[in-house]
Amino acid sequence: MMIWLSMQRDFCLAIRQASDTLMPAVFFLLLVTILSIGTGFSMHENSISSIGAVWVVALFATVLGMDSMFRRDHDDGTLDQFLLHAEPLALCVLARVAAFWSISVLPVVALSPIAAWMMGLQSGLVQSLLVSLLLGTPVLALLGAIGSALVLEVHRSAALLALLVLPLFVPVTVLGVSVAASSVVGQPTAPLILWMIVLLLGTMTLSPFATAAALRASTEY
Amino acid sequence: MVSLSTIFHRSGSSRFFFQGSVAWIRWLYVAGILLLVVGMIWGLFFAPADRLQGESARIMFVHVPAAHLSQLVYLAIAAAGVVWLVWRMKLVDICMTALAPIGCALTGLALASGAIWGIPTWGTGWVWDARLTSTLVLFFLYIGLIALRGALAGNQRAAMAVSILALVGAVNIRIIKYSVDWFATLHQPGSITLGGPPAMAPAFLWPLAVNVLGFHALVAGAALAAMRAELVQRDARTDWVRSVLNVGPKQAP
Repeated sequence: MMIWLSMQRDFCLAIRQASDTLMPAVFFLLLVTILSIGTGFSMHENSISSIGAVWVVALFATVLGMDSMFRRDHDDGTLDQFLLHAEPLALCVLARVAAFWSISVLPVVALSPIAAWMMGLQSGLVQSLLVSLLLGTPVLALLGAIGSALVLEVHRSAALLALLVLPLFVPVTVLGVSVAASSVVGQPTAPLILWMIVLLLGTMTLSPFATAAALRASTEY
Repeated sequence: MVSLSTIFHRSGSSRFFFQGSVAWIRWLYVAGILLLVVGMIWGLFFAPADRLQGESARIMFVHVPAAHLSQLVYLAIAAAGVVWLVWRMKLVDICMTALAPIGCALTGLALASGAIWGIPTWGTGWVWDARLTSTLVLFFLYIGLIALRGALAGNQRAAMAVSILALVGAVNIRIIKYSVDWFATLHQPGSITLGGPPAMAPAFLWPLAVNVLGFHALVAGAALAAMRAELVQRDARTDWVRSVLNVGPKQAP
């Protein structure tokens, strides 16, 4: 019950602060533009590197919003209520991450076909890119939750957060790019997609507990 | 006769550790330096040159111990993290603090020595190969541990945060290893495995073993010395530090 209320509140706040909510999506398109300029408009010549570029840019857009995942709740005291509440903290964390993903990351995923099209990816490959991003970005959000809980008490934490979580993003990035890349060379993508589901389920099971412990570390001492 | 539990409890005492570790550090340094002098002279001058790689293969006497210890030290930090989360022992936290820069330096040494070896042998100092990539990620994990410790105020909070990060990293480093194996691997597979004869001639294996042991002893000695320094720094205002360092009793404010 409390979980739904918490998510409802997050969505409500997201609609009221529309300019903050749209920032990752705008940032995503901006990065795509800069990347295309920076590579001398040569991205469209190689499908695999344009897939990799879309993935990395989506990853950066996710990291951008991550810093504030628990910050607002911490500042206005909501987090203390979560800590005191009878509901397990891990469940509250999961709800928060789900809301964060739908609000800040889903728009980026939704824009990724446009970005892929702008980078000249063949339309047949967009589907596997979209699947890999839909399965991969929740993992990014769940791992990012651990990091943003750890740096909750750190002043100016954005750079530290990126340093902590980017190494953890390696496996899911490798798998995500491989899914899209194997569809470029015509190999079956199903086994890799199953591996991504394994990674998502594993992260979904373990990360809320690590995040909850990190939140306690940040607030109790 | 001192009972086992007395030994256990006493070893967690700051003062006991500070005074007892002096002899350990001395002997670990002596053993490490002796082993390394013997191992390096043996490896660099008396071991035969490799049939294919020639003289450049000798860098493995530095590279292999550093790469091996870079992973072992991370495992030790993660294990210390578990112990801290369960028992909240102060010395364990100090051990984590002391080990992180040492592990980071060893990982850097492994990467650098590998690159120096790679230039004549592979024709390139760096490739995006599975082992190289996961070692580089390990290097960043170490930097993350050090940076997080430095950014957090309060020893308890920092200890808990670093323990959690070390555990998450330890789970992740295995997955990173599997995931980067999706790429083609250029690095040769490990020559020495547990269970199974080593795929290396005894002429190389023995000096390598001596060097690995020497590195272990030096790293253990350096870790204990760093722990002592950290301990004194943290407890600088306590009476036991004043008494062991002969600074006199605490002044009345």
